[in-house]
Order: sequence, then C-alpha cells, then structure tokens
Amino acid sequence: MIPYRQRYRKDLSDLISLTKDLANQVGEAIEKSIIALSESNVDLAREIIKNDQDVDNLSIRIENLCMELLVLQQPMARDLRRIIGILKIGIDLERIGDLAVDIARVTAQSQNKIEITKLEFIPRMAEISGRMLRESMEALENDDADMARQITKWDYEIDGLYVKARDKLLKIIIERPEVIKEGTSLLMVNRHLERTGDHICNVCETIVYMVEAKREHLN
Amino acid sequence: MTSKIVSENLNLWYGDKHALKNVSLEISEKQITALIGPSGCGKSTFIRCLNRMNDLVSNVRIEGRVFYEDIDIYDKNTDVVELRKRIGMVFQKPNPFPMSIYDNIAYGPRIHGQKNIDKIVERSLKEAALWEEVSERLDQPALGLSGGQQQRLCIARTLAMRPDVILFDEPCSALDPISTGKIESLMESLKEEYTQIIVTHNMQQAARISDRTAFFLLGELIEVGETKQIFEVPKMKSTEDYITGRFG
Repeated sequence: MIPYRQRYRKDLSDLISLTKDLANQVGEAIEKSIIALSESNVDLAREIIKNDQDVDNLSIRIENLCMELLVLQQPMARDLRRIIGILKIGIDLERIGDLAVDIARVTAQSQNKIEITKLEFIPRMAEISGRMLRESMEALENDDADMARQITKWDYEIDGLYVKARDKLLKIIIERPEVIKEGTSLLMVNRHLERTGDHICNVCETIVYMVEAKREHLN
Repeated sequence: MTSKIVSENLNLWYGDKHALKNVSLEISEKQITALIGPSGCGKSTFIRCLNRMNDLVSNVRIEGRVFYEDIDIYDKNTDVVELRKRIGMVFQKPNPFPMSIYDNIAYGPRIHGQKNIDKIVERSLKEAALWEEVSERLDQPALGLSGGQQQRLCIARTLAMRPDVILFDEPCSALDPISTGKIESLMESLKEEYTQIIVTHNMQQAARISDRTAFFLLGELIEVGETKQIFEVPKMKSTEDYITGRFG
C-alpha cells in the first residue's frame, strides 16, 4: 500500500524535531549563561550572544515550515493544533534564548564586585528550568498532557528561589551601596530566570492544548 | 433549531451490499448540512434517499423511516412528484436540458401549469446569481454557457419550483475555484429561505460553508455536529483520522 500523505506526515514530525533542537539550543544557552556568570567567563558570555543568531534562524525556519504546512496542506483538528502550538512554543523558546543573552550581557559588563557563588539560588533556578525544558520536550514528543501539567509544578520552586535570591541581593545592596549597579544587574538576572520558568509553563500549557484541545492556566 | 428532515434507523441495500446502516440523522431547517466521508461511505446514497431518487435504482431495498416535516417519505401514499418539488436536487455534473436558457428554467413551472413564467425565470436566475450574466441572451442555448454558469442555471432550475430543501451532490467537483466560490456564495445567500444539504469530497468546502457536518464511513453515520466542532475537536477517532488525512 502506498503510504498516505507521506510528505505531510514527515513535515509534521520534522516540526517536533526542530522544536526539540530549538529547546536544546536555548536550554544550553541558559546553562552556559549561568556558568559564564559564575566563572566571570566573558569569552563564554560573548559566545552565547553570538550563538543567539542560530536560535533566531532556527525559530524562523520552524515558523516558515508551519506557514508552508498551513498553506499547502490545510491541516485540520489535532494537526492544526499541533502547528499552531509549535508556532506558540517557538515564540516562548526564542524568548528564553533572548533571556540567556540578557544574562550573558550582565557577565560581559560585570566588574565582579559580588561573588555569584554566594547566590546559590541563582544556579539552582537555572538547573530546574533546564530540567523543566528537557522534560517539556519529552512531553511534546510523546503527546503527554499529564506530564506537561506535572512539569509546571516545578515553577513554584523557581518562584520561591527567586524571592530568596532577590531578598539576599537586596540585603547585599543595602549593606554595600557601592555594588548597587552590579546588584541591580543581578536582580535582573534573577528576574530573567524566573521568567524562563514562566515561558516553560506556557510551553506546557500549549502542549496540553495540542493534545487535549483544552485551554488550562497552569501557572 | 427545528428539524426539517429526520431519518430514523435508515438501512439501504443494493442487492446484497448493505450501503446504509442504521442511519439516524436530523437535518436542521435553513442551515447548510455537509455530508463528508470517503468514496463509497454512503453519503450520496443517503441524500438520494431524501427525495426517493433511489427508487429509480433496481434491486434496492430500504428499511427505516425518513420524515420531511410530518410526511413519511417512504409511506406508500406519499406523492413522489410533489415530494421532489419540495426537495430539489443539484447534481455533480451540470446537466442543463438541450434547450434555451429561458426554457430550462421555464420547463418545470410550465409542466405544473404555473403562470407568470417570465417572472419565475427572472426571479430564479436572480436568486441563482446568474441574471446579470444571461439576461440579454435568454434565448441562447444553455449548453453554450460555461460549466460554472451551467451549474448555477441548474440551481436556478431547481429554485423555479420553489423547493423547501435543496440537495447538492458534489455540485462543485467539476468547477474551477472561481465558479466554486460563486456557488458557495450562492448557497450562503440561499440559507435565509432554504434548507440545504451538500455532499462534498472537499473538506475545506464543507468547513467553509456548512453549519453542521456529518461524517459517514462504510455506510454508518459516525459523527454529526457543528462544523466548527467537527473540524477543530472531533469526538470520534475515525473522524479525526479522516479529516487530518490519515486515510482517504
């Protein structure tokens, strides 16, 4: 028997693979941005900023493939939700990439007045968001809405760490007013990581919509 | 929404072939209902039951009931000619009579002894959005019209009998996209007065123009619902598999 709409099915499956590639790239960017920050590694920070072009190119490629499928294949039902979902997920992932760049810029301009190792909450937030991102891609690949729901629970942990890191940074700034500029930048880093968790929750909400056609607010 | 036509456990056999299996379906008044499904699923057979076109096929056996308003269509006392006046039909291939444009429209009303034929012709052609294109050449042969115009002429011919329900059996499958667009706009405009049922293989067409969609497979009615629901979130897996092209 001739496989039916083989090209269409392949393009739909390519969309998932490309989205996973995009998630890997931005996940790596977040991870490296925190390593660069912790080690004051300006070269690594510059590499992250440079590599963001690849992230942008890949998200445009995904967007183009979605557009092509919409125009040429007129998808319906779960296929349509998949394509609309991938378009939305692409936007969230691309924003995570931008947040990694923003964190890398802080390292590139840092004067090392605050020891990042004392802010243990920040690397922990990056670690959790990296895990959430990897698992969200697993949920996407397996059409697993329940797994997507579970992943969003980790965002409470991130929010808690965000508050702790923020309070600690404010204490440092109050005690040492001379580090106010760097302290403020680190408050922004803290905020960027918290936002990363929010974007991954959006990804999970989109996966639930793609699989079950339900709109749920998970965070 | 009031039901105009109701089928109850309708079964049909062509000889040994069981072509419709317990089909129970309500057709809402003044709405467009699309029947979709792969070839041989029974959708054309079903609409042909609604004005007893299958009576003309030999070796057909029908069980179950079909009501048009309170008339039992398959009751032995039902006047089939009157029924087909109320439930008109437009076919896949435009089939004008080999006569003038005017006479094509006038044919039915004349047979039924109606008067004011000129008015009927003008009104029908206007309703079918064809009047402006043909008003200056009503005496010309209908077969000289384009395929799309011929199909609208056939719709006008149906409208001339002032039907209540119009059955369309793949009316656009032989037409180009522009002519298809005109037929679809026409169907939209006819919604105010007529109940319409369309059999189509073109799912985008069903999605564009219909209010409700029914999905048939292997002689069974699998699912019926609002068109938006059927194409966005179908309840049955086989409906989803069909509309997403997993089989055809």
